[in-house]
Amino acid sequence: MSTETSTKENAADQPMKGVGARLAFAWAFVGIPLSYGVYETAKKAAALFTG
Amino acid sequence: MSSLSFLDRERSVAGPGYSRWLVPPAALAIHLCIGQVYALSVFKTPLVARFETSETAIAIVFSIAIVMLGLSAAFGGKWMERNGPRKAMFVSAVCFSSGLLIGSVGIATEQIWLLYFGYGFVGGIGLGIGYISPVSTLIKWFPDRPGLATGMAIMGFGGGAFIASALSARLLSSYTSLPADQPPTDALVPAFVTLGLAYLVFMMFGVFTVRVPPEGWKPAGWTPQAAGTDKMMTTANVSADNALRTRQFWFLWVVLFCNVTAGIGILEQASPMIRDFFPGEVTAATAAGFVGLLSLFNMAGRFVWSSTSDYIGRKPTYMLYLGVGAVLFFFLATAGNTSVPVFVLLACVIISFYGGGFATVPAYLKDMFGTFQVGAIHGRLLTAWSAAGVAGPLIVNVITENQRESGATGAAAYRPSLLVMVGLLGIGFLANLLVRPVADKHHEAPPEAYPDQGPREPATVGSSSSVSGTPTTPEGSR
Repeated sequence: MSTETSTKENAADQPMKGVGARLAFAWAFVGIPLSYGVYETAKKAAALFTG
Repeated sequence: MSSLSFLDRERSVAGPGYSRWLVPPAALAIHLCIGQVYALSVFKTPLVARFETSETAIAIVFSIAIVMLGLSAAFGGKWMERNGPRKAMFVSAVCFSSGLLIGSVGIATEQIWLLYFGYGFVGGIGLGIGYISPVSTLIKWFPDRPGLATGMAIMGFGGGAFIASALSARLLSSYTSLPADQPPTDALVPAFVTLGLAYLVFMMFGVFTVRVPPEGWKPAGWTPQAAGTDKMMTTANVSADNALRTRQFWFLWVVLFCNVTAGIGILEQASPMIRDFFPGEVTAATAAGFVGLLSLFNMAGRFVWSSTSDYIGRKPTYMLYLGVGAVLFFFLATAGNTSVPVFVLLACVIISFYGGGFATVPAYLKDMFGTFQVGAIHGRLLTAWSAAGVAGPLIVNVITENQRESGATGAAAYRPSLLVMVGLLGIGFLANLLVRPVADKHHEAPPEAYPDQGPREPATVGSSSSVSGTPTTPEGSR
């Protein structure tokens, strides 16, 4: 059982080919619009300090 | 409906090589869209002009949407648990997008009831199902860091308002052919249609990306037994129906209600409050900047505090929100008018606790009730949000109004309502102190009886059939 477990855990540690690119795309897909929203809000918030 | 069978839970089991770090962006794709509801006010002025009605009549659209959010989260949770996150996200995407499109028909035909039905009723169902859809999946993928996982998703709800606010303003100004001094009523229909279609595409990314972990999956190197040594972190499971019969659920309901009521009380009054605290010193533009800064702290608090709770524990985290929050509210009431920086600092930390309270509660529920139906339990707990949405503004508005009628001005008019919030946070603090592990009698049968629930033999992504013996149709990272 322990050998089987060890094999399974090793298998999980070896990501499928292309998963890095998929991760980068997925995070960019949500990260870019979020950054845009945060930037626009931060611009508004700056009025607090600039008067 | 066999063409939609890819939405079934069995068809969304992760295959070999699927990274669990794909689940947070899938969750964010949903929450970033449904957070649009908090930016609806961008459309308020043109909608009032289009329907030639009052602001109150337009505000009803938002109210219906929020009520439907609470109801669909409370009643749709068990359906979501049975059918899995992909189908729930799909339903959310279709409802939310349809809501905007039906609303656009209502605007085009000047039928306000169609706007209520579309954006409020149908769209509101999309909000509720969408809000809870990724929660239990994230918790199952991140049993080692549930606070971080749910913090990332629920942070998106706050971030979604930022995106929608900026995007909607741009759409209105791009589509209108009216002079700048007139409300862009002619841009409403194309703006609603654009948002409806754009959100449908964006949310579908979440639908196609999300996966549930195979039965028995756990992160490499993480042992549920070690986590089980903490009595405040159960390895057992409680069903959504049984959870309602526990004191813990209702203590947590009070905790969430008190935390949200106090936060909403400030958020709703932020702009007039800072101007009343510092008359002549704070302009309308500066006050708008203050509101923007609070939104940023609201969003950041969701991620930072929820992630921190993985290290310091859920109960101490809520002691921070409620205990330190009460102290900060007291200082805001008694010394908030000493200087603008002091006022801003106190309010920002308080609002970060408000956001943190939303994001940490799914992990707290997982600690108390296990992962079995944590999404459904979370949905039911969100009724505290709905109740707080009524109580918070009511407390501040009614008390402040009475104070003004009796001659109080500036900070003095707000002081009693802020002190009421101190008391409320104290009640929440006590309720949190009373949270103890759930009694064994409420626990479900051993976790082996449920797929994907709780600790069992170690396994990894791609080994589901060998562990469970149940054939599945893993899609993996195809």
